[in-house]
Amino acid sequence: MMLEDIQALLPGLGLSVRLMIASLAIGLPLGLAAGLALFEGGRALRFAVALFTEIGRGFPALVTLYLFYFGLPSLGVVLDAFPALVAAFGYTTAAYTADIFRSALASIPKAQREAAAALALGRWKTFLLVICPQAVRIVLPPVIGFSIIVFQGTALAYSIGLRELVSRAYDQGTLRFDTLHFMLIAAGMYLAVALGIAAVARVVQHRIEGTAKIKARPAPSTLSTTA
Amino acid sequence: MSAEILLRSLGFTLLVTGASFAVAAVLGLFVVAARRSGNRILRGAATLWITVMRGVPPLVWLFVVFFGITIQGARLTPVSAAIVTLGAVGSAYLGEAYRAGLESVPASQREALSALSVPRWASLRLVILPQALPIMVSAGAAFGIHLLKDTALASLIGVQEMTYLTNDAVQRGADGFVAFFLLGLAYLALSAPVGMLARSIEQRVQRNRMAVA
Repeated sequence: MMLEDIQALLPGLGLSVRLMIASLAIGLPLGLAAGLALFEGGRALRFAVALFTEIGRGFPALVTLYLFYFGLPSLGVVLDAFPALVAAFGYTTAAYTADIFRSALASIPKAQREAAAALALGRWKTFLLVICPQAVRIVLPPVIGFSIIVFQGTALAYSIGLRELVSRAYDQGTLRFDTLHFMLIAAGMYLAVALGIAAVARVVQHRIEGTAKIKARPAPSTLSTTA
Repeated sequence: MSAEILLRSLGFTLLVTGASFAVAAVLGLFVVAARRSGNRILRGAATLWITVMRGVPPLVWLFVVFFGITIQGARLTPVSAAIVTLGAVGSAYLGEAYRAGLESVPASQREALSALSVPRWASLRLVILPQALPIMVSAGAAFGIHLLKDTALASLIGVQEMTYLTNDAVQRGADGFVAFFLLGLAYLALSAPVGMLARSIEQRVQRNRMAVA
């Protein structure tokens, strides 16, 4: 009985997870680009990016979703429900993570860029080999945490008719005259995924702190001048 | 569309935001009291409440309350269901905001107060709260903005607030892009004063910290 009810909702859970992954796949690279623009772009670019991130964070997610799904057609862009949601949440993700990326870039000491330049590393090589590996450690825990918010946000897909977890629970509940029962199963599923992602974030955080400690240990080297 | 309808929908948005904030502020007191109590069961219950409230999308809780709870066979009205739901979910966030404020005060001060046998209530009112309050207010303001945006969800159970009204107009032929963009700007405009208040409090706290140091 209960097992069957859970199984009835599983395809919905699958779609919710796919919506989250697709939104992050679009949103995180965009967020990195926006963070780079905020960090070292010119004035006009910084202003434009700041405007976009303010809008992305200041609009309710449901309004942004409607803007992409019901609004874009009046500009001649018609998107199906799935791509509309992914575009809307990709944009929101970029808006929220831009500042995480920007502050990670800003936290890397300037001396490292100067050292890279002294070693004649080009701009791209400096970014990929020196800056990125360090920035990733800083951004990973908050970005994984943010993905929980994106996952919960996919519940809004209900409003544009996607058959994700909430819609399935709603339909099953209406069909079997027990909305509460199915909504509570859906709630349990959301909670399980959120706790799972939070556990991953903790493990990652722990690992990063572990390696940071190893790195911080003074090298027992004869080159040490303070010995 | 008449100005009267527009104002009415703004009224619903403000009503749901204000009332659920009040519910969250009161329930949050119980959450923080339980979370910081000496009783293990109470602490566990508070932690569970916070985890479960925050771990599930508010839309799901909204449906649980609206479709699931009946009093003598009758459902709650959409407006009261929205207020109950957002207030309950918010109690987890505000409870944690209260806790962040209380825990920002160094434990040594508490120890000093109890060593001087200052009564609990007096030490809370005269020493702890004045230091904790700015942090609580600034976290509370951030929550208020978050809550304002979440009231858009109430449109999905039929509360005729701003998002409901705009969606209705668009389904009847209004320009979707213009309408939803203006709607988003309305939310931004409503949250701007709250954000400014939070920033000015943060700055004042920072100045005080520097003055102390």
